[in-house]
Amino acid sequence: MNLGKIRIILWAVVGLVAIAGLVVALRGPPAGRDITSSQSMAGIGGPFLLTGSDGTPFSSERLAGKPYALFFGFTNCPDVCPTTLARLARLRKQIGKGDEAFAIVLVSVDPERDTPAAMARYAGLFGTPVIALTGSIPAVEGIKKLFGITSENVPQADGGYSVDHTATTFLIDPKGKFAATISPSEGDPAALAKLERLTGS
Amino acid sequence: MLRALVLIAMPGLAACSAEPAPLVTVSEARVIALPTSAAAYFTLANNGGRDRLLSVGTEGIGRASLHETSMDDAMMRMRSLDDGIEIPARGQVRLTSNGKHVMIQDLVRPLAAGSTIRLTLRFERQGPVEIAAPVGGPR
Repeated sequence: MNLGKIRIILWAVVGLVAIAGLVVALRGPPAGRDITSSQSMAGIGGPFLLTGSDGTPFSSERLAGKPYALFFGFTNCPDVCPTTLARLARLRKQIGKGDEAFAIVLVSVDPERDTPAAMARYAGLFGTPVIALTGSIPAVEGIKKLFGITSENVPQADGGYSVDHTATTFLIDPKGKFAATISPSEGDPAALAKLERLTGS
Repeated sequence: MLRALVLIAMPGLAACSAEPAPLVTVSEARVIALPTSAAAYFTLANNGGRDRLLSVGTEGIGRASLHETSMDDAMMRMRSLDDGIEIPARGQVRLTSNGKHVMIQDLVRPLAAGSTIRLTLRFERQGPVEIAAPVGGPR
């Protein structure tokens, strides 16, 4: 092998190393998305003060010592909101520890229309205890911020409005700490497993 | 004269035969009633040519409109289906919770669970079809 050939081979190796380095740099750190999502989950939740369906102040301290499932909705929502609440009620029954297993808490994202009386009528439909909370606009904005909820009033053709909103259910442990979420697209077995973990079943 | 009429009618007949008449049947109707609003669900099975559900009448119970719920990431969005719901030829469309549904707002009176309400489904080609839908609570 002459010197010329060796030089060509060496330059080829240098070129390959440079290309490999560039590929690694362009792909960036691995699994960056998972790290971000678990970090953002850590900051979810916190104490809140709203209005109960009897019209009196309702502090999150009243929920201490017992796990609960928290969901955001509005009473003029005949499709997703009752489906979600009915499913939580059904799964609570399946756990077999009675209504004490965990509390079901609904918070209105439509405080302008959802009076405490409207919340009471709505909560009464599920044949099982549901804590239905509303509040002043700043109070509702406060809890929405704690749980990263976004909502948007969408005008309807007939002059009314619907409220698009985050439909995630948040599971809170007896110490008031955020434990897990249930999404509406998750099947019952997955949701039940999370609730069983929450209630120590 | 008679022959002239037949000749005029012929192209019309030809157009009809190109698009078979729809034959939509409605089944599994149910209504979920809330204090001020309700949602109606049913299955539309079409044994003929294409059709479209344009609107639903409630005989004065409330204002009904066709809606679709969709999940966009974790956001629940609800949109009115202004063009109605297409039922393909020999196809089937199911209205379900978290999907396409009839939303009934501004109920003039609460709907009692266990009762039945009448709904008129207005189709583009087949015309009106009246159905009875049992009322239940959320489940």
